[in-house]
Amino acid sequence: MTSSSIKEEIEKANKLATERMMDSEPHWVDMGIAEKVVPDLKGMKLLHAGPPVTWERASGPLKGALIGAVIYEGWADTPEKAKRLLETGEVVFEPTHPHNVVGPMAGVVSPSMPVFIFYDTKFGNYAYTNMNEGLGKVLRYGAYGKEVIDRLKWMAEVLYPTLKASIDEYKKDHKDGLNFKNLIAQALHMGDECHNRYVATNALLLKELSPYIFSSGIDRKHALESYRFIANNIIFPLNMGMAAAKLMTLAAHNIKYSTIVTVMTRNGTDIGIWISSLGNEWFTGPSPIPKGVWFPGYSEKDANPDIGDSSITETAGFGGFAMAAAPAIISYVGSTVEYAVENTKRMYQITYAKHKYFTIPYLGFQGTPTGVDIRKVVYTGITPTINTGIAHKEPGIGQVGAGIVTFPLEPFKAALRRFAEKHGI
Amino acid sequence: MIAKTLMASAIGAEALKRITVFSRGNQNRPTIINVFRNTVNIELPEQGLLVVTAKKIHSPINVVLDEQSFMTELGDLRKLVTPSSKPYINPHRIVLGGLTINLSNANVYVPPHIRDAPIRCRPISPKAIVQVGHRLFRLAWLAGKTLQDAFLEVVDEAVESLYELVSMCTDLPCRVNQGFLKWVGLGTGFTPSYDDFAGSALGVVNVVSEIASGKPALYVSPPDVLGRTVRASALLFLEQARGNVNHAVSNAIVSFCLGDAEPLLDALMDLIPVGHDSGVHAAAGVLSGLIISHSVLHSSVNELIIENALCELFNRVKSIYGKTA
Repeated sequence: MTSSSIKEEIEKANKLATERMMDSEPHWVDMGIAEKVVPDLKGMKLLHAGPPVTWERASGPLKGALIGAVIYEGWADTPEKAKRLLETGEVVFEPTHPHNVVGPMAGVVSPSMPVFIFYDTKFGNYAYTNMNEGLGKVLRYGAYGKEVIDRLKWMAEVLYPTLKASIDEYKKDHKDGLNFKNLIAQALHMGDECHNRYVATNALLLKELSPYIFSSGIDRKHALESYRFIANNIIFPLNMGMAAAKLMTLAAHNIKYSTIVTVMTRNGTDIGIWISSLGNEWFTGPSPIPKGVWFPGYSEKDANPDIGDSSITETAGFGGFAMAAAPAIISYVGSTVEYAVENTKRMYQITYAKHKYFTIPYLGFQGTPTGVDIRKVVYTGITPTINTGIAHKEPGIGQVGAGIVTFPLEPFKAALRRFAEKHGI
Repeated sequence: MIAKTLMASAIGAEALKRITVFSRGNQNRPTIINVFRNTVNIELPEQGLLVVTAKKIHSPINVVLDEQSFMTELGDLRKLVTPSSKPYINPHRIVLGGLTINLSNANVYVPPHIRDAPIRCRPISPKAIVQVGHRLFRLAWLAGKTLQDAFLEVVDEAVESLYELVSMCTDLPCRVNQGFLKWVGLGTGFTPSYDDFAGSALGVVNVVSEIASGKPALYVSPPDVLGRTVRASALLFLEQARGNVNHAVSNAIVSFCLGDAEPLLDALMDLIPVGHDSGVHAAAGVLSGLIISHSVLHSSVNELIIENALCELFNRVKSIYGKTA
C-alpha cells in the first residue's frame, strides 16, 4: 500500500469507528447472575478492572477487592485464607474487558454476583456490569469488612430481584429495554458529565423506572428499600453508564486501519489501552496518582494510583471529556469551572469527532470530544484527562477522595509503533 | 485577573545555578523576551536563558510548572505575564508580573547523561541509527508531522559540513564555521526549523564528546548566530549547542551510548509533539549528531560509513514524503 493510500484508509476507518461509536444504541435489557450470562466466567475466577496484573504487582485496593470477592463467594472465610488462594493461583483473576464486562474502581466481578445486562440494538453486542454499592467503604475501593460483604449480599437478595422484576415490567411497555444513550444525552444538559456526576441521570433513571418498580409485583418492602438505595446513591447509574459506554466503544472495535482508542482503563498499577485495529492487545504504562479533593483525614500520601474501568466513559466521548457540561462536578473532584471547560476544549485536540448526540450547551451545543486518536495524541503530546474517584493505597480501607488525572504518553506511543509495524509503515 | 502563585515541579540544575549566581548581586534585571500560552523565555544578563514552561519538558535550563495545577488554576501564562517586563528572581521564587512561581518544592533535574555518568559509550552503529531514523520519521509522518521542504533542500550540505568540521577537529573545542551556520534562521516557526536541527546536532556532538573525553568538541561564537535569527531562537540554539539539551535528547544520547535502538526510538518519539514542527527538526539534528559522534568516539572510524549513513538518513525521509532521493 502506498503512503498516501494508508492515510486514506486510516481516515475512512476512523470515520467509520467514530460513527459506529456514536450510532450505537445501548439499552438496559435484563439482569442476570454473572456466571450464567458473562462469557467464560466459570469456576474460581474473578474479573477485575484494568489491564492484566500479577498478584505481586497488584495495588492495595485491587487486592482488597479480590480478597472481598473470595469471601463473598464463600471460597474462604478469612482475609488471610482468601489471600492465600489468590497468591497460589487457586483463584484466578483476569481483566474485565475481554469478557465485555466493565466495573468501576477495582471493578471486581465474581461468578455469583448479579450483573446488569446491556444490549446494543443497533450493532447486536452485549455488555455487563455489576451494581453500584454507593460511596465510602465499598468493595470496589478495596474494602472487604463485614459491612461491605453484608451490603453485597443484600444487593443480591433484595436489589437484584427488584431490578430484574422492574426491567421485565418496563420491557412490557418498551420492548427494547431502557435506552441509556437517551438518558446520558439528557443528563449532559442537566449538569452531569456522566462519570463522577450522575445526579441528574439518577433522577431521570428513577423517573423512568419507579412506576415499574412498584408495579412489578415485587414485595413492597423490598421495592421501597431498593428505591431508597438507588435514590440515596447519587452514583448508582455509574456502572450502567459504563456498560453503555462499553457497547459504544465495542461498536468501534476491530475496524481495520482505525487508530481510535476503544478501551482506556486502569488497575491501580498500570493503565492500559486498546486500539480499534489492534484487537485486544494491551498497551500499558504506569498509572498516575490523581490530584484531588481529599476526604477528612486523608491526603495525597494515602492515595493509590488511579484505578478502574470507568474511563470507558471518556473513551466513548463523555465523562471527563464532557466536563464543560458539568460545572458542579468541580465541588467533587476539585479544580475550577474554567478548568472544566478548558479540559473539554483540550480533548478536542486529540479526538476524531464531535459527538452527534452528546452535546454541551455552554459550548454552543457542540458535540462532546469523541474517539481518542493515537495519532493526535502523539502529534500534540496531549493525553486524555479524566476525573476519577481515589482509593486508599492499602487494602480494606476504601475511598479517600476524588480528583483529576492525566494519562501518561507511553501507551499511546507504543500503540502507534505497533500500528506502524502491523501495517508495514 | 488576580495574581496567582503556582508551584514548580522541577527546576534544571543549570537554571538553579544561574538563578543563584544572578541573585547574588547582578545589577541588571532579567528580561522576559517571549510569552506563550505554556512558556515564558527569560534572558538573564551574563547568564543565558531561563525557560519557564508548563509543558513536561525537562532541561537543565527549564523551570517546569506543575502541569495539573497550571491547567486547573491558570491555563494560559499570557493572562498574567507580559513580554518585555522585568521579573524578580531568587532561588525561592520567580515573580513574573501577576504570577509567582514557588520553587521551594521543585525537584532539581539533572540530565540522564550526567546523572547516570560515568557512561562507557558502546554506540549504536550508524546503519542502525538510520533505521531508527526511518522508523521515527514514518511515525511522525503518520502522526502528521513532517520536515519542511526548505530544510530538506539544505540538510545534506549541512550535515556534510558538520561532519567535515568534526572529523578535521583535533584541538578541542573547534569553532563552528559559517559552512554550518549560514542557514541559521531558515524555515518557518518561532524557532526556525534549521535552528532546531542545528542546535540539537551540535548539542549531541558536544555531549557525546564530553562523555568520551570530558571536553566539548565544538563551540559557537554567539555573534555568529545572534544576528541571523530571532533572539529567543538564537539563545535557545546557543544553549543546546552548549549541551543544555532537553530530557528526550539526553535520553536519546544515553540509549545511543548503551547500544539500545528501541529506547532510542522511544526517546526520540518524545520530540514529535514539541512545537509546531520543532521537535521533528530537532530529532533530525539528534540523529545526525549521533551518526557524526562516531568520529568523536573513534579516531579510526570508516568515513565512508558515516557519510553514507548521513546521506541515507535524509534520502529515506524524502522517500517517505514521496520525494525522489
